[in-house]
Amino acid sequence: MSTFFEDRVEVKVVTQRIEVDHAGNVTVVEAGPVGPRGFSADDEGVVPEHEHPPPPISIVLSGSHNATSGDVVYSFGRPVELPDASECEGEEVLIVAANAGGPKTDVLITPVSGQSISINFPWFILEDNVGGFPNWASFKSVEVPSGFGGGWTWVGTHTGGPQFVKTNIDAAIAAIPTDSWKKPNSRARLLSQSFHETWPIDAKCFRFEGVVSGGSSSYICNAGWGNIPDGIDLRFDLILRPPTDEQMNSGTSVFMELVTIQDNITPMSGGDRMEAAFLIVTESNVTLLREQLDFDVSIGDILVFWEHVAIGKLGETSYRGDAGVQYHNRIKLRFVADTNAGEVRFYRGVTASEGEYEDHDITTQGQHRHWRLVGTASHEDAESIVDMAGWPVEIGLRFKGDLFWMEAYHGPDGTLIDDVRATDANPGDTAFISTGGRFWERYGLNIEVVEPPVYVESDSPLLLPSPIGLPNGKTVKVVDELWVPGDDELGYSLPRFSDYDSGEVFSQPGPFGTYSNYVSTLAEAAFTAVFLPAGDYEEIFIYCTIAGNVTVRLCLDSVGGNGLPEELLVDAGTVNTSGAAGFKTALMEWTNPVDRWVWGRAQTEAVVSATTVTTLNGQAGNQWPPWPTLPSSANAGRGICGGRVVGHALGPNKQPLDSPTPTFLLNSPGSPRIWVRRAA
Amino acid sequence: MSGELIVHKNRTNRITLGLKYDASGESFTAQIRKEANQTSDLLGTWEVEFATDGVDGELVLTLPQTDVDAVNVNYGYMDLKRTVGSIHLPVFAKPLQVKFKEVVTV
Repeated sequence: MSTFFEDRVEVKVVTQRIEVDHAGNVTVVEAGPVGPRGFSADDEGVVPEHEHPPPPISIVLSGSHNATSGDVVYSFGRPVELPDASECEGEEVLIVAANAGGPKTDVLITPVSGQSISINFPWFILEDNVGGFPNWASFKSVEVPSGFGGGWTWVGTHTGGPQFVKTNIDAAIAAIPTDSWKKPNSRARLLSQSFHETWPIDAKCFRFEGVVSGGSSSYICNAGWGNIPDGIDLRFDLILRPPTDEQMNSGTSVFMELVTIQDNITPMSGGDRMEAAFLIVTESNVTLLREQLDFDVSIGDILVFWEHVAIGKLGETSYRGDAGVQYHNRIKLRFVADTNAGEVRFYRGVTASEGEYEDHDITTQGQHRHWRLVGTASHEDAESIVDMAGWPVEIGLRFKGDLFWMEAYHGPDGTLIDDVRATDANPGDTAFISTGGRFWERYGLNIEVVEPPVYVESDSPLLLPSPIGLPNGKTVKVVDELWVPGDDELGYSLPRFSDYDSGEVFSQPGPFGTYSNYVSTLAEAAFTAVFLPAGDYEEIFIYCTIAGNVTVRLCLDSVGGNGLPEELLVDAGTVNTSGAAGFKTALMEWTNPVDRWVWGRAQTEAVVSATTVTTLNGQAGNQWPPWPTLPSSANAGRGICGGRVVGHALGPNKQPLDSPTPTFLLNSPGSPRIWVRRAA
Repeated sequence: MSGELIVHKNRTNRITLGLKYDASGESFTAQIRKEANQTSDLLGTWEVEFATDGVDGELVLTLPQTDVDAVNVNYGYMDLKRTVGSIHLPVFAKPLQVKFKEVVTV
């Protein structure tokens, strides 16, 4: 240390010395007293930003390396520079080299048969994620070793766990501006090449398989996660399978870029399709997650979501979701009530086998049920969490005030939504919500009722396709809409309808409601109607789930006074399924000049044989028909998407179309779906 | 006491190294490379000589300033190669991390 004598500083020169013992262990010691300040052998010094010690020998990368953003994180075949190597020190990091042209052996990079690498992509931070539904996450590209793997496709494992459906979106890609991925806030990124990767085999979430082709196939990972709160880091663990010798020598340099994580996947029939997504626990969400999960989480954990339910942490060998394991489903209710709303009590329907329960007998729908009080809320509460483990769940509500409404969203596909709306409710009044399924957890997004509610009434009754559960052709009146916001940027509307004659308000499925095809009693196709406020929309996503070799045109139509699609607002162009089940997405910018209801439409055109040129609407030729002014059975098949098709789409004479007849693999309602992102 | 060696940039660095044996009949070389392998970038070469005659195992390692000036990284690795006759032997159990530090005075 230095000693100060008035204006004199005494220092002694520092000298380092290396001591080597008989075992070769090296120790660096100071050969003299500490030198000038700042140059002490103990002084760590100042390491310039982004400069870190090189990784130790044979660093083995596990799934927790956090690389900084960049177009290319790893370049295999040459020494791996880990930007945040300090975070990896001590961790096992295995890097498989697969540079056919380079050295196969490296101190740091060693190709090891049978081993794989796990890469964590931390850079799709949803900076401008609005916490609404849905939210997109774009993956950035990573350079994959040349010849690594053989290629890939997204395939379903049919293990009972999540699957992803391969979708050829070449046509959709063509419809997207080539530089759209570069646009600010752009969500749609295109996969341009492929690589080979697999998920840990013990993960029951999903698995990708494929072969590097070096081609230009593009795929969308149909992973879904719809309610990512703002600022959440969404990280995706990637496991790469080491290449075979043949693959090693392919010399093809490929990279992968996952396009988006989209939330929309609805289960296919048979339940062989589902959604999976990942969420990393961060400081901003850990509290919320701990409240809502029945297992502990820590910052840095990567949660695996299956059908919007957290089923475990990445890396666990087993995930919740096994038969008999109950999800810890919670719904978070936020309700609006006037000053007299008073208290609202939440009851869960219980069975006698559940043991003690509050013998609260609420008569609903003519049935006596026992209910357990699970929570209360008052108008002063901004929100109330109702803890509903297991499913199905019923909630009974007891009003103690004037006005209250609450909604429960069921499942990722929104097959059923019940809403409870009571005006002028009197103490003791009750309402009943039956979800019929899992609650749809919305981390960070509460089910928030528009305040004040927006009531939209049309002067004339709207002949609308009936929601599920109602007869076709039911005359209903739009009574209001619920805008489920995401910071006013991304959201969707729930239409509410009432019977035009009786005024009975229907429970609407949603959030993307499904309605029977008004044009056919057989093809229960559906539209999606949403209420779009006027404004600029940066992104409008319209997609549907269709299987079969059909061409689909994705459109946005206004809803006319007769409840029919009216003006074609947005034509997103056509895509062809090419026989593969999947969904189509259109992405466009659009300005909606007026508040209005819009239909999302996926208009199909039958694949015609060489001898048959009958289109769905009976027009000759392979033409897209103009939108009809009136619906008729002749237009069977128009707008088929969502719902479930019974039988075949009909031709103009209600005859099955000539083969090949498109088979619409439709899922539970919600397709086509529209959600929008308002311009900032 | 530490596990890394400080090398000051823009300076000639000189350190002593103590081997606990009679090294008089041997020769030594030492290099600093960017990473702990022989193929990575060479950052500097120590001039290795006996402090006296090597009997006491004492070596003096000098890194010329010209070598150090060219270094543009903060870290590297070094070790010592011991040559006995025609045989090359290790000295360090594992490479020693070298930390390059900036200086102030020109």
